[in-house]
Amino acid sequence: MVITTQKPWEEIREALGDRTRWIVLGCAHCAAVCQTGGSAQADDMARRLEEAGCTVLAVVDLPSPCDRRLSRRDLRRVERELGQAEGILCLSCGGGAQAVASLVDVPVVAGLDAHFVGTVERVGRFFEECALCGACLLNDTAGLCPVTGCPKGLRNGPCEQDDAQGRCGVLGDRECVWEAVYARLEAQGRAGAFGRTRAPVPPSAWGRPRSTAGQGR
Amino acid sequence: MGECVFLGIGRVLPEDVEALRGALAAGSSAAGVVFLDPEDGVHPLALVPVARSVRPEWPVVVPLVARDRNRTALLAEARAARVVGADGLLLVAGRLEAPPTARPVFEMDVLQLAGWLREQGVDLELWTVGRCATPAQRAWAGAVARAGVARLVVPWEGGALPRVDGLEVVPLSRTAVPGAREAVRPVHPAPAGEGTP
Repeated sequence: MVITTQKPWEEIREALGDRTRWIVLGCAHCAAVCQTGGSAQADDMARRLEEAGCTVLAVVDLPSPCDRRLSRRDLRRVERELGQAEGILCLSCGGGAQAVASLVDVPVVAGLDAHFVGTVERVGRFFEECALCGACLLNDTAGLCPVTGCPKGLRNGPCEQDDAQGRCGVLGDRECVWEAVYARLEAQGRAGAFGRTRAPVPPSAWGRPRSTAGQGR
Repeated sequence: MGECVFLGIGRVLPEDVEALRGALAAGSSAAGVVFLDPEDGVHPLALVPVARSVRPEWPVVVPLVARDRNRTALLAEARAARVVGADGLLLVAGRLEAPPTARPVFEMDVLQLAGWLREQGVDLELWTVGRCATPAQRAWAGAVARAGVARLVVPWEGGALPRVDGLEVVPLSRTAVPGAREAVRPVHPAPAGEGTP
């Protein structure tokens, strides 16, 4: 789940420029769960646009704006409005906004900021537990990701900033993630896995942009 | 290097270099100096000649801070340590303050660094610093010993020292050395039978 927040209205308003005819696109997937770009937020944004003097030609909930196949199909439903629109305000993550932008000729304004891939406890409480590092070590760490849980992203144990109680020296009030990793490994009878040295994340995992299609799109 | 007392020196600003000379001269009960993470102070490679000029007989350990350095920079620094006559490298991940003011990079950690330096032919004695109080910290200490680290500097406030197979434990108290800003002084020798395997 891509965790998003809505950009400040002033920033969105500035990005609209002097264009007045808009289509508002929502995301029925991640942004809907975050309540930043679901149907209710898309309707709300449409109202704000109209209050600002704009004309909203359509409000569309795309199932997954980041999926070009689905977005291409669903944008056909508003083909006529697209012909009249001066822009699209997209309430999705940056991936969704870019996928939509690749399918239309008018400017696409991103209405959200995307922050991290998160797990959901309940609405409004999202936690980053995967850093998308590209070199997953969960099998060695009893299912706890130290790359995400450690402020330094260390892959091989605690650092010199821990205190004698195993609290993180950076976050202070929190236990070092490696303490939890060790405790869980030990409970599973796998404490020996703790001392294995894992290599740094290889360049193939941190080089940008990443894709599963090799060099090209 | 045999078992001995080491002065631990932290951040030294340019205006503190003379004070450092004084601290080194006054540390007559010590037999070596270990420079810790200098943070934004003078790089310890520049302070090795200072230590040598005051205490030519003392072994000098300089830090190799992984934070904000890629492998090219780390190797260059390790080689520079050899050229300036350092006797050991103190491997540290590097401090991170919250919230950081700039995006830090932690590409390498101590375990990775120890193995990699040996692969690159760096033959200086390897040190590191860390706690040894919790099960996870002790397991980590065992791992760094297996990776080729010889000495573990541990913050110490009295009591029995930890024992780690393959590592000499060097206790470090937070007693400031007069004249050297944020300097710390290790307390040694360890109680009999403690601190060394």
